[in-house]
Amino acid sequence: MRVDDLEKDEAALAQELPKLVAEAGKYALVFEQKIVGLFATYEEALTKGYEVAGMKPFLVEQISQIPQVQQFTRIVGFECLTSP
Amino acid sequence: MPHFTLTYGPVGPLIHAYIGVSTPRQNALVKANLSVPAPIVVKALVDTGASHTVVDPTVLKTLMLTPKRIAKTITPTTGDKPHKCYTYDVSFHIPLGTATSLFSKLAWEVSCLDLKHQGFEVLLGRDILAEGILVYDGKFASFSLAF
Repeated sequence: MRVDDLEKDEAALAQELPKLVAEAGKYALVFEQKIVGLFATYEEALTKGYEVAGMKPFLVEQISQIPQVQQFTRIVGFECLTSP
Repeated sequence: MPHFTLTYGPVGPLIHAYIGVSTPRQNALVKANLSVPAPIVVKALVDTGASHTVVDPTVLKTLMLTPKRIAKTITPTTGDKPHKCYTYDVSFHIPLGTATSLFSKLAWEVSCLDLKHQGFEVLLGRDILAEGILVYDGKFASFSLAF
């Protein structure tokens, strides 16, 4: 369920990305597939997210026109709470 | 600049840190009359090969967190096709002595990857190291962290 919600929110953000070129570096808050707002910091986006969504799932993602990939030189496992 | 110096062993530079729910989540839990999980003491490996800070799922499960986004991740086993992992919002504190913090963030994004059997629960990545200074002294098997 959470995977679906996050993926839908990500898809909604991806659709709007071309319009957000000037907002690179800011944090987008997406709830129920709608962009609630753009924030200067992760903490500000989270604060608004919990205010709007309470304990329901919401997405916070930094806006970037280039896909961001995390790099790890150590071998790690991909088992998580509910791995995507 | 506040700092500490520790010796390192065969695993590498290890420190202790506290991970808890982020302050925005804590406020939401209180508002919803839900209990706030206590911060957890973790062993963290300082890893300049990690672009981001990673936390083992057992820690995140104890804090009863929900994911905030899906990150693309490359490791030595993924090849050039990134795998997906969840990220979570936490508070992150590195203590300095018993009363103060060397590094303290009320809201920080961490990635969830399985670190069990490696002898620590956290990889302290370059996202946190970018906020301070790391000195690695190979001759004396010690390292210093300053923020």
